[in-house]
Formats: sequence, C-alpha cells, structure tokens
Amino acid sequence: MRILKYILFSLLGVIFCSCQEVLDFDPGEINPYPVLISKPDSGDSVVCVYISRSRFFLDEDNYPSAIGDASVTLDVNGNTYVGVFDNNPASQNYNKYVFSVVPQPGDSMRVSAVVPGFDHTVSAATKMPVMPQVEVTDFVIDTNDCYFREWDSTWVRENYYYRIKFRIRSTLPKQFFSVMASMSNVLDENDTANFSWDTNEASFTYIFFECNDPVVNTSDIENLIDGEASSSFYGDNMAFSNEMFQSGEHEFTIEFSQWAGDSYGYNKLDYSKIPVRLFVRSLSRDLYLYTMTTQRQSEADIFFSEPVQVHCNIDGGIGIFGASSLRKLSLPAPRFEHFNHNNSDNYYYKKKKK
Amino acid sequence: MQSDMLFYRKFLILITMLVLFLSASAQNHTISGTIRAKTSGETLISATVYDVLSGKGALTNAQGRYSLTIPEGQVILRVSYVGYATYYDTFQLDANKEVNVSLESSSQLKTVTISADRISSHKSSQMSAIDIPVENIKSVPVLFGETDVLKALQLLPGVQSGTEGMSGIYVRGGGPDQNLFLLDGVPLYNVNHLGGFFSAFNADAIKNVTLYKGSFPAHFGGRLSSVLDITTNDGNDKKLHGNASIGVIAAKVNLEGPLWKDKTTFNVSYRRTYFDLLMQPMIMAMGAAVSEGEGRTNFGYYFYDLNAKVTHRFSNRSRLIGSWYSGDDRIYAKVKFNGYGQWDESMKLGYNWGNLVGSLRWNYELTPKIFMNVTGAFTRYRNDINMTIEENYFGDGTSSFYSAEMFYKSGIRDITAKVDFDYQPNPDHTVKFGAAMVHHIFQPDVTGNKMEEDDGTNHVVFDTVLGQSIVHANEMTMFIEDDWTISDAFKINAGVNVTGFAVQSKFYPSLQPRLSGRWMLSEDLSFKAGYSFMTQYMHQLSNSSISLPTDLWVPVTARIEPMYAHQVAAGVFYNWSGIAELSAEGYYKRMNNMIEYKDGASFFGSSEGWEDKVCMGDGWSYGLELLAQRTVGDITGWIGYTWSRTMRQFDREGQTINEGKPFPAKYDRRHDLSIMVSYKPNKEFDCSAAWVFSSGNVATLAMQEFVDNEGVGVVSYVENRNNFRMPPYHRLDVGVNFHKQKKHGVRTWSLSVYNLYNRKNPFMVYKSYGHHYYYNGQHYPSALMKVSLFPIIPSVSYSFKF
Repeated sequence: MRILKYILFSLLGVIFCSCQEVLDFDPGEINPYPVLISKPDSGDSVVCVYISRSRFFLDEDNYPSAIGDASVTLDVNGNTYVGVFDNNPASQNYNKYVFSVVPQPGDSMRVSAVVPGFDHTVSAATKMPVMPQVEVTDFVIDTNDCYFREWDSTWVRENYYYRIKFRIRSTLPKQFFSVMASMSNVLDENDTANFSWDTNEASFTYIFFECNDPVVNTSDIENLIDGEASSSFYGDNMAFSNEMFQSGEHEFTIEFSQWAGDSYGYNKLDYSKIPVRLFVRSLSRDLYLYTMTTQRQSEADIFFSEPVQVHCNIDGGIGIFGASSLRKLSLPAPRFEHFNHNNSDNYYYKKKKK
Repeated sequence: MQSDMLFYRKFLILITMLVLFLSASAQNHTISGTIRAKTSGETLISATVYDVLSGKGALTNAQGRYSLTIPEGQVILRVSYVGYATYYDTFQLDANKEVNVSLESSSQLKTVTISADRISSHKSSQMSAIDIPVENIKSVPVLFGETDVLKALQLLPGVQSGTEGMSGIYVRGGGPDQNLFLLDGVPLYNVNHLGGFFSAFNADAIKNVTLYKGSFPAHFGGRLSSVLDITTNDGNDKKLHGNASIGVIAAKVNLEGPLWKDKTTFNVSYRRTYFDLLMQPMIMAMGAAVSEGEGRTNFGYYFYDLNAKVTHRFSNRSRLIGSWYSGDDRIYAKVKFNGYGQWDESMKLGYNWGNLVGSLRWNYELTPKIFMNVTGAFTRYRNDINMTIEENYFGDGTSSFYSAEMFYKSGIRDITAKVDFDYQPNPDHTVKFGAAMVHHIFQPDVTGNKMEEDDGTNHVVFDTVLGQSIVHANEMTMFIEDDWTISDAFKINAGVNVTGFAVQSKFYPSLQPRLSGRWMLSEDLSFKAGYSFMTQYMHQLSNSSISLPTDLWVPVTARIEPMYAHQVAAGVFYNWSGIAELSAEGYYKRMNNMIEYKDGASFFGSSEGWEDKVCMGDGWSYGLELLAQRTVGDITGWIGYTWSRTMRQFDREGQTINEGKPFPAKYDRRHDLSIMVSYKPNKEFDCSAAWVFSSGNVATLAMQEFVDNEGVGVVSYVENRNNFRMPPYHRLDVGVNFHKQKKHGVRTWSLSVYNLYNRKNPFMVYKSYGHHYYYNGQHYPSALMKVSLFPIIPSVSYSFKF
C-alpha cells in the first residue's frame, strides 16, 4: 500500500505541475532589418529620414537607437540631395537625416541609404500626392445640457456639442485621405485662443471625435468588431480611401463635445471664442496602408485574432517612406445660444428646484 | 432564371435516359432481401451477398437491403459480414425471390479493425473512404477514457486534429467547417461539447461510421473536404438489452429492445457529465458560508446527449424509422441573497448551446430492384444566453425595485425533405438517384435587453432588441450515380450532383461531376483513381482554435460566393493474404472562395458586418497517405502516415492577406504518423495503445520590432503569416479492459492513461514579459512561452452490459 501511495502522489505531482514553460528556440536564426522611417509632408520645410535597426522581439531592453553614420541620399525629380545627420538634442529633427529640400505635390522622391552593419542598400520611392479638395459645408454648436452637483446649487458645467460637415472631392481615381481635428486649450490675457498649427506646441490639443460614416467605418476593423454604429477617432486615424465613394465626392459629418465652466476653475474656457482646426491630408498609398495597419495592430485583440502585418515599402529593409499633402482649415466658432437651465428638464436640476 | 430552368430540364432528361437504358438491359431474375444480425435483429450495412456460380455480387445498403439480379438457374448464395459466420444457401432461381438472412455472430473470428472483409476494400470502386466498426472506436484509448468517434478518426491518415485534445478534424487541408457530419442522414452543425474536448457522438448509440475524404459519391454534397456518415443502432428486436457505464467525466446508459416483437424496436442512449452534481453540496455550502446564511448559490456546467430511435417494420419491404438526437451544453447559475430583512437580490444565468435533430424516414421496396427512401428531417443548432437580475429594497419604510433581463440568441435551423432510390437493374449496375430540398433559417445573432426600475417616484422601463434579421435560404439537390462493373478488372462509380442555392434574391447553381474507378492489377492488388467537384454554400465564422459556442454559421451572400473544390486522388491497394491491407494514396485538392479573417479581425459571436471582416481567397493541399492495417488475429491495428502540404493565398484586389503571397494554412503539417495497436488474447482481457506524432502547428509571430518615432511608437513586424512552427506534437495513450461474465451480463473495468510519458505538447505560444530567456549566453528580458493543456491523465470507467 505504501508503494501504491507513493506512486499515486508522484502521479498527482506530475499531473498538477505547471502546464506552461519557456519555449526553447534558436533566436540566432533571426537577423535584424535596417529600418527607415520618413513621412514627408508638403507642409514641411525639409525632408527628414530616421534610420535605425529592428530588434529581436524578446530583446526589449535593447531600444533601437538611431544610426547616425549611415550614408543617405534623396532624389527629388532627378535632383540628388545628401542627408545631414542632426545630433542636436534640442532640435526638432534630432536623430534624423535632414535634406534641404521642400517637397511639393506631384514631386517624385527616392531615398537610398547604406547602413553600417548591412551589406545591401536600403531604398524606397514615393510621390507627393496632390492637395486634397475640401469644403466645409456646415458647422454648428449646440448646448442642450448641463451638469449640477447634487449636494449644492452651484452650476457646474455646460456641455457644447459640435457638428462639422465637410465635403471631400476626388481629383484622381485612387486617393487616400486622413482627417484630424484640434483645438486650443489656452486663452491668452485678451481672452482669445492662443493657437498654433504646430503639433509640438503646448496649446495644440487633438480632439476625439465621432463619425458614423460607413465610408470610414468599413475600413475600421475595431469598430466592426464591436458592431457599433459609430467610431471615435483621434489624431490621424480617421483614414479612408476614395474607392469607398467610387472616386467621386463625399460629405462627412464629425461630432464631438466639450464641457466647460467647471466651478473649480479647471477648463474655464469660453468655447465660443475658440476655433476648430481641421487637418485634411492626402496620403500616398503606402502611407495610407501603413497608417491603417499600424492602427489595427495597436487595436487588435491578442488571443482571438491573427497578428496584423504592418505594411512596409522599404526595399532591403522595413519601415515606411510615404508622403502626404496637408490642407489646414481654421473654423471660427459659430454663434450659438448658451444653455437655458430655467427651462431644463435635467434630472439633477429638477431635483435642485424642488 | 430561364437558363437555370433549362439547366435542370436537361439534367432530368439525362436521368430518364439513363434509367431507361439500364432497365432495358435487365432480363433476369432478382433475389432481394434484408441481412440482419441473428442475435439483435440489427440490419447489417455493406454485407456481401454473392452468387458463387455466376460470380455476381451485391452489397447491402444503409437499411440492410440488397438486390441481386442474375440469370435463371442454380444459385449458390453466399452472405458474409465481418464478425459473423458466413451463410450459404443453394436454390433454383426461376422467378424473383426474396431471401432474408440472419447471420450468426462468429466466435471464431477475432475482432477486425478498420474496414471490413465486405467485398474487400481493395476491390471496391470507392477510394478515400474508411469504415470504422464502432467496436474499434471503443478500443482507442482517449482523454478521460471518454470514447470519441472524432478522436478515433484523427488517428487515420489524411485526418488531422486541431489543437491538443480537441475533437475538430481537418481533412486533406480543409477547414473544420468543411466537414459534413450526418447522423442518420441528417446534418449536425456543432459536433462538439465542452469547447471541442468531446464530440457530440455517443458511441453507445452508433452502429456504423464511414468517413469519406475524397472521391465523394454523388449522393453526398454540401461540404468541400469530408463526409462523416454515422448510422445509429435500430435496436434489438428479440429482447431487452442494455448497458450502463460510469467514467471520470460522464455516465451513460443505453437501452434497446422490442416494443412489438419482430415488428417494432427502440434504442435509447443517454450520456451526461456529472461533475456539477457532485460539486453541488460544496458550492451550496460555500455560498451559505460567504453570505453568512443569508443567501443561496448554485452554479455548474454539464453536457448531455440523448439519442433515440424507433423502427417499425410493416413488412420486409416497408419500414418506418423515427430518430431523435438532442445534445446540449449548459452553464447555469443561480444566486439569491436576503439582505437581513432590508433587501433581497437574485441573479439567474442560463447558457445553452447544442443541437436537436429529428427525422422520420420511410424505406419502401417498390420492386425487388428499386428501393425507395423518403426522409423528412429537422435540425437545429442554437446558442442562447439568458440572464435576469432582480433587486428589491424595502427596509426603511420605502420600497424600490430593479430588474434587468438580457438575452442573446443565434443559430441555424434546417427543414429537409428528401427522396432517394437505390436501383439495381443487374449485378453490374448499382444506381442511386434522388432529390432533396432544404430550407435553411439562419439567425446570426440577436440581443435583447429589458430593464425596469422603480424608486417610488419614478418608474423607468427600457426594452430593446438589436441584431441581424433572420436570413432564409433554399438549397435544392438532385443526384444520380452508377456503380458500374465494366469487367472483372474495371469498375467505375460515375455520377453528378446538381445543386442550387437561393439566398437574398441571388441564385447559385452548381453542377458537380464525380468519378472514381478501380482497376484490378491482380486478385490482391488494385489501382484506383478519382475526381470530385464539391460546392459549399455556408461558412462558419470562427477564429480561434477552440470550438466556441459563439462560432456562427452564415450563408453565402450576394458578396461572398460559394466555396468550391476540385480534388483528384489516386492510389494502390493491396490485400495481403486476407490478414492485412496496405494502401498508398496521393491527392491534390484545389479550394476556391475560401474565407479567412482579415488581420486583426475577430468576432466574439457578433456577425454584424461579417462580410467586411473576411477576405476571400484560394487554397491548395497535396499529400501522400500510407496505411497498413492488420485486420485479424490477436494483435490488430494500423500504422498510418501522411505527408502533406496545405497552403492558402489571398491575393484578390482589396482582400489581400500576407501581401498576397502564399502562406501555410493554420494546420499545415508536413508529417503525421499514428500507430494503433490492439491486443485481445481472450474474452477477459484486452489492451490497446496509440502513439501519434505530427509536425508542430504554425503560428504567426512578430519576430522583429522597430521604432517609428513619428507618432506611432514600437511596431511589431510580421514577416509572413504563420511564420513560426511550434515544436512537434507526440504522445502515447494506453488502455486496458478487464471483462468478466456475471450472472446477468458482462462487467468491464477500463483503465486508460492519456499522454503516458507526460509530453508537454504546445497548445499555444505567447510572448511573456515576466520571464527571461537565455540562449548561448545571451540574456533576453522576455521569453516565448509554451502553454500545454493536458499532462499525463489517467482515467477509469466501469460498465455493465446485459
């Protein structure tokens, strides 16, 4: 019986031992790639290229730093430019190769790089897309709600609902676009918006906005997963193709809301004085695919979906060399009526009146 | 539509001409009848009926009926079936004659494995098909000792398992939704229990299992890759028999017998897992302890299968069969809490998913040469969730009430009407023809929410139902096939299956030719080749390796076209002195309009906009399958080996995966080897062992990462889909059975061990930030982790058969 007991306990020990272990495989078979990242914009003053190398996916301590001793050239419409590595930490183009050329819509560009540690040339080509044709057709602000604290009679916050309609017109059979919106979150001493187009400025704030347009939704995998009618966008991630509207024109509606008037002094902005800035970009096909796939990768479910293959267009390496042409639109806030809380059927307000 | 009508009219003319031609050639007398087992009265499928003098023979059909038309004169009739003593009868044939035979079980013959003696499989015109007697299925040692048809099939060449422990089968490079599972001729949509660890087929209820991997006869259609045809027992027509068993996971009971002797029989089998029942006292005690005696808790999971069949024989020429199957997985939970006289709350959850199949079939022999089979059937798969919450507050002189109810429903229902005929005009032709009409009702998914709240001053009611509308579709099928013995050496099976699928104002017709042939190179050696074209009108949305109840069946649409496949196969078959069979088969299969999920897409049971989440593309698979099986003696078994390659390519405009380049399919495995050995020295003891080895599954891993410092951050780079192959899979299972004759029957103790040497086979791999990896002196702060599901698992079961 004792032997039987030992056998039984040994068996149970084996059964309940961990069912998870480190998988042994040879990482030496996996070699790094040279990486080239460049997204020249027609609004930029110069073209910049970031060169680095990829890292083995388990080697997370090894943050791939920029490679500063590569030989990088840029060909624009047949004119060759040599990149100069910017190693000034204070510079906006720090760790990038800078080319003293301002790209224009329609320019053909080709970048080539000889990267130390790799025995082949890395290259890619792109073309500056034409400027997007955009027209704002409607912009309204509505205030139909406010929020009260239950425990006192202080009016706390007013809610502003924004709705912007704009029309994009195709000028080519295949075009790719992205849209983003921003507002200032700072008013100066004259109580006016201190706004910059520069995304690096502190007063520049992206807006989360909603769009329930199927032209956008059908390319938004995450939205499809949830099966929701609309989707939130932030930054450049409202990207779409004109194939979705048969290469014609299409009117989009984006909506968002802003709270204002917090009694604690936070966000006391008067939004009637702050314009909305709309950024509409025309993207090269490669940049569009790269934008879409990097978005999907960040949103994809880990266990129940296939990993997303990010689109790259670099011969002899990985990364992206894609161009965009940016149209900026500044939309002053239209006149609107402030919320009339005396007529409100707001639940908390009614409670307060009692 | 006019062209469709013309298409069907031409097909009907073709059938009529063929029937007239065959009838004209029939001038002899016909012997017909039913072959049964003497002890049980059970009809025997594919028994051989052979006239020794003329050298002509026939096989019994799925109802045990045969028809043999031979010249007038002396007849020496031989009837044989594996495991039964051969029957001889000599008589003078001068008119049509009915000969019904009851074969006696032979104690001389030892258990025979796959494929029977029949007209030995190397002589049949059918290839790429395997018959498995249910006794062999029961002898295969399996996980938790629970006999499983699908896991036995996984040991055969050309059939691959999905992931560890799962019942899903992948046949010749096809997906799991490309298999047609027929239970008494009626399709079953979800054949899994407990996420795929067990199949829905209770071996106690099964009489015969046939798997077709290719060269499909024309009477089958609707799926690209395989047909699993399962026939259940009719029931003993002499006396009441039964058997009961209890194992680690489930308990089973089976009863069969006559309701009206020699006329009406029944067979009922029930299986249920019982773990939840054992846990009930503990769960309730824990619930009471946690709630300090103020509440009650009850939850659990179980699955069950109920098979029932009633067969009534009006005469030897007429039978009516009613069969029923219902099998569900159920998760239930009830929580009730009394809040010290101040409030109470309760929650009830019910989650049910499973199949229900009912059919009524009438077999009637119109003439000794024509046998008719009329079937009406209903099949349903449902996946329902119901949850209710109620809260009542009544403590401080006021009262309030809150209730919420949520439901989710999805499923598919089929109503089928079918008629088919077996026509044997002469011994050289066996013709099958028929037609079927199936009305499909797809309910992709519907969610309902109802909420009611009353706080004494306000009364709020919210009631909404969201989801996709029901989709109706009609599928029509006509078929004709002829198993034609051209000469002693040549035999072919030629046929055509014509289908049409009407959905969303769209009609998809399909004409699917089938052809297979056999050439006897010698008495023991044959060469076979076959071609089949198959069309499939529905897809299953699933993107995990586990079979989830939320996997949805959806029809083809105006955008998503039907899948179709061309398959050619050829092989040599050798019967080695009647004791072993050897075969080598090669195949090539091309599949079109397959669907695969876009990168990053998943479903979680929502079919909303599913057409936008998938890409359509193509696939191909080719391979070589070797099988050696010993069929008689104390030691029986088989060695099966498959070398195969399965690829996918999605390169259509706007629907590319892997940048349009070909990539290996999820279950592409180069090598697949299985060895099954069974030893039965006497009636008291038998044992078996099965060893499997296969190349590892593939997975998609981003092996490189790079930094995009322009607003994106770290990007994972996937070079190719399914670029990483996991370590090989192998394990050894063993089982022993001890039988003992008791006063009222035979009791059996069964012991089995799954994964005897505790191989940690990979179920999945993932990157872990919490582990470190060292390789050749190099340290990495993350590691690739391998998750295994089943270590060594012993099990025991007890059964009693009377």
